[in-house]
Amino acid sequence: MTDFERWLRAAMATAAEPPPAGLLDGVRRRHRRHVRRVGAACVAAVAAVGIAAPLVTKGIQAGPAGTGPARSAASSPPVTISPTVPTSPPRTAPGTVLRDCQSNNNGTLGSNWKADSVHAGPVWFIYARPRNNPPPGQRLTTGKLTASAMVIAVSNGRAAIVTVASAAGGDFRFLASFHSNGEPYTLAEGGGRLKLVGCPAGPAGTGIPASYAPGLTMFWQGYVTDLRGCIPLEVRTSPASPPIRVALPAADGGCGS
Amino acid sequence: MSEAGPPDIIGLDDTSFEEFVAGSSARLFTMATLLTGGHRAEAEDLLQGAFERAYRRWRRISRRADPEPYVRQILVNASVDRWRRLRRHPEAPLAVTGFDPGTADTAAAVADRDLLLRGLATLPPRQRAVLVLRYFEDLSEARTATMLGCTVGTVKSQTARGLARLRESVGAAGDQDPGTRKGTVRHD
Repeated sequence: MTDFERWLRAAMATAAEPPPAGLLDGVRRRHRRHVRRVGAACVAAVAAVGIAAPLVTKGIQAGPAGTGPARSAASSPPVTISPTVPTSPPRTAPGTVLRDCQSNNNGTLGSNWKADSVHAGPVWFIYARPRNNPPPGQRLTTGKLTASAMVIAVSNGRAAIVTVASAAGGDFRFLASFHSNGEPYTLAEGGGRLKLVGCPAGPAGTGIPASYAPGLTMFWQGYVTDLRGCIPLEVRTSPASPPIRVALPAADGGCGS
Repeated sequence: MSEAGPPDIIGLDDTSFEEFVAGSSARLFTMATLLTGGHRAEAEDLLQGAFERAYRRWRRISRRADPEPYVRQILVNASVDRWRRLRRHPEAPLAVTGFDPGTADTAAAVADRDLLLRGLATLPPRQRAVLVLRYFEDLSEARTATMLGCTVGTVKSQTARGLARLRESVGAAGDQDPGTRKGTVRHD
């Protein structure tokens, strides 16, 4: 070994400096982002099959794809709706979108999906946990109208009503169906209330992995909103029950940041 | 070494991973700093990314006697990916940074470190990676070739070229060839 190589080796050995502060927190943040990206991609892929199945069983003929909500546009299969078949599930009351066992989109999730999800009574907002807890009384902000979708689940045998907080009532709509003709979404369609009715409860199976979300009825639920940052939602198990309030990240992901 | 199989998404409160990071981050950060030619922000990014990728597979990795070589490989792979991105956007030489000389011995060590990092920054990334693996990690030519996914012949030629270029660079920056200076680096 030459003198220069010896110098090089020694200089490298003494080039040490302390690692950056907050390294572990940075790793955890990256990991959460990775889980969200992987989860959204997996669920979108699974839900694309889930959406196709009930529509195909109603005799819908495949055709050119519509633009659909932002997250499903890249993965939803091409579908057109026959004019003889209802384009939206039956509603229980004006302004209410009904999702029940007949329209569920079950699929598999990551094994640790609960850690990144928000739980409100019998309802799970899957992979929707904000990065940080949003401060109480956070002001609502609005921006460009965006159509997107969320994975929402309700316990089998249970029902729940999800509404947007009254302060944001005019800025958010649950969609009854996805457009197949490329028509943009507006706040005049869908409803401000979402009624979730789970599949009948049955005996619990054994050895079912957590990734199958046993005991839950899952839905790929579209919405349109001009809210930015956090979407304030309320979950009730009956019209008279006190609401469980949650805040979910809007498409800009700025909730709690 | 390659990352095969689907990722294990584990809980975020694994203490064995925290202990591993605490014990290995200093050395791995130094390696990342050398691999990036002294770009601290890039080194932090590289290291954080490597730890996160290891975290995804921690259940499997932690069963090994020493997980550090696995993370080291991820770091090298990430630096290779980085250099491929930088091929169209070459790095600028490291800017001069001030330092407090402290004692004469500390000053000499700091000066050598400064020379080293400036010199490394002038090297093409592959030559830099070869020198770091050979002289910081003390890996053999064969092991270095495996980590970089190239032949032993390439490692030999890159080492020779890298040393020549680095010697020219640090020799021009310092007042004499650092290999011939006496008492430059203390080995306490």
